[in-house]
Amino acid sequence: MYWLSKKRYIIGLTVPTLVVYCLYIIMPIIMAVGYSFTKYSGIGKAEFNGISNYKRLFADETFWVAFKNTMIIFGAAFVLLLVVAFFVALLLNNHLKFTDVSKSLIFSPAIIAPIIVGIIWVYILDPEVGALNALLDAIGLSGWKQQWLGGDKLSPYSISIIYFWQQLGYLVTIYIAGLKMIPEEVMEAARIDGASAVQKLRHITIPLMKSTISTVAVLLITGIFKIFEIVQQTTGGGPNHISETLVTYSYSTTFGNSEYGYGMSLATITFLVSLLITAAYLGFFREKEA
Amino acid sequence: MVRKIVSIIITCGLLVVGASGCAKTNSTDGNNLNSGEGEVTTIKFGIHVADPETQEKVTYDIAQAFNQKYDGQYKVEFEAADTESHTKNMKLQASDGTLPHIFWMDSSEAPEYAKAGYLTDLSAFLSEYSDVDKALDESVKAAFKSDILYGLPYQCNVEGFFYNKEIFEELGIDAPANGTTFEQLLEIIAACNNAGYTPIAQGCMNSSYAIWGYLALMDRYGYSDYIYDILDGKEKFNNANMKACFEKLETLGKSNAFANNMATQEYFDAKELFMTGKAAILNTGAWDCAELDEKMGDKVGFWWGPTVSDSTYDQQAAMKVPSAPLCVSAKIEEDEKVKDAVYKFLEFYYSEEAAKMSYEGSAFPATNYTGIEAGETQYALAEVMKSIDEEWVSPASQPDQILSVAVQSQLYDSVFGVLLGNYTPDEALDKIDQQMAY
Repeated sequence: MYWLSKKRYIIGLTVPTLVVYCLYIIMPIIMAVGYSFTKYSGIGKAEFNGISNYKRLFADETFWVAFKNTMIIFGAAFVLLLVVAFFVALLLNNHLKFTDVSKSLIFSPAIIAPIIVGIIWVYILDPEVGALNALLDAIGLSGWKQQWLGGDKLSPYSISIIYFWQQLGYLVTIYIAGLKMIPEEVMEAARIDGASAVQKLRHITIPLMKSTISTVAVLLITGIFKIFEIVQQTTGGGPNHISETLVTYSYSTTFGNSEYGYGMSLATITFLVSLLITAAYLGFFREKEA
Repeated sequence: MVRKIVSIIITCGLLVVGASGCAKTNSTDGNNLNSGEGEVTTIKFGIHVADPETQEKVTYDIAQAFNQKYDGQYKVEFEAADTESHTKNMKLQASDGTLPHIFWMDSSEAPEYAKAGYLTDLSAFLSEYSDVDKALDESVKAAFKSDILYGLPYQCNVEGFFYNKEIFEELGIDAPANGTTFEQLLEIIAACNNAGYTPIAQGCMNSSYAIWGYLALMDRYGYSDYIYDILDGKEKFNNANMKACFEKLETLGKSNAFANNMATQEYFDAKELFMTGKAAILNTGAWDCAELDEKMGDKVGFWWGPTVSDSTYDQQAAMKVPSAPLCVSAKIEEDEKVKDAVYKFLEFYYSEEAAKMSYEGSAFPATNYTGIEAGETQYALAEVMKSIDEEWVSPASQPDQILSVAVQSQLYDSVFGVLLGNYTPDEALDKIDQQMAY
């Protein structure tokens, strides 16, 4: 590997990656931010309109609905997935019967395209033709029937559940990979010292899994802020933008209303919010580690 | 040495792969295609459906007939994508100068393309082909005129409500007919609800455009009379007439006129609900005639929608209007052969032969050729033509198509907001006025 440490080789191999990264990641972000200060329908030339889009955004009721929904989904899915996936991983890391089958079953939703996931869940949660309300009817709990999708309250929670179902297996797999990295001798020593399962979890597993948990958290934050297909398929952001998230609202404004400038201001804010949450989480986590 | 070569190859390879993403592909650069001497001139036709052969069969058949007629000389090739992708593609292709020669365009976006100089003036075509000029009514042409004639109607949209005759026979009540009042519609809704039928099948999710049946109702409250005043800022959407109209929509919602899961039903689900005999009325347009014939046969009737007594405007308002335009790229002016080919296709598209093909496929052509009748098994089309023969008055343009895309979207949102009970009529109309201000 000596030749790889030479400066000119490092530069030679890094430059193409940087070029591609700048072209496909950095440039679009800069362009999106640029367009967010314009009035642009996607046809002809964009007209600079200063911070008008941002002023409009903060006065736009639908933006706040989308923001609230995104935060509900974030809160619910983040906590559920971070914690439940961890415990499922602990369970599956044991040498129990049927763990391989269980792993496959839990992972299977992760390989289904999100748009199909949406369709599957429409058949479960639709208030009229969905299996859940039909089940409640069948067991005599008709009073518990809800507008799980399309109503004015439960849609974001339903979307959190769907996202949880879809992502659980993927995150469990990452956690299991992390658990496999914990040296067996450390666990063995703890066992000899008489540590209980809870003590081992608290003083060995969790501290040694910090970087994995951190990775999962970042994946979750970025993933939740990108949830699109599930919303699009289950509610389309509607009715009347009630179940809109920041991403779907940005999309419908940009491509549905042909308001590219305003849509880009929504995209910019979404980007900043997810960046801030990621930075805050990582900052907090590093402080703890220090 | 080998390592150096490997590094150079990897570096170059990555750069080439990266750069290739930015390259234009000749296959979509339709403006200079095959216009050389002795070759077939290809006409690129950008269409708003993914599979024209099944989804826009009439247009597909017309194109095939044209290809057959001009075999070896001209050839129409479709650039097909669903409406949303098509709209995006046209924007991208306009910006890099690769628009198809002819393309379908949403009425509310076409004027902007014309303003930006992407479209050719079709007045020259109509001057050259006087038969086509005569076959298109003045009002039809006026719908797409700004500084230039930037488009010609793709088809003619006939919109209203289809109903299931069998359900009305079973319920023992009169089926709606042109002239049926809003109060009578409420009685129909109550009877359907009592019998367990969904009164009106209505798509909502991802189908915000599906407000067709209510457009004539808006006109019965004078929409076409004052919309230009609204657009000029002299009048508001939230005026007494529009408010009365939206109150009628609110009443429909409150009367349980729609399925409980309307919010999560797409237009296609609503159509299915109607065609499987679970709903009495379907809000749609004549484009569904062929499917209705196939699935329901002679059980279907057609109606322009309810009349109202609290409006001073003409109640005999129908909705037979030019559909979205076919536009032609300004780039055809750079190549005489391509221009000739496009003109030949347009001549064929608006010919009597093509009009006959349209009727055979249960679609209404934009042209005014007379003496063409529905076939014996075209039940739905025959019902629509019966209503057209009553000669109720249609506006020059479809009410929603006059608006900018953003205002149009807000109109749809407001209509559904009121139908679903999420907005009051005042809130719904204020939202449109707000959008107008941006």
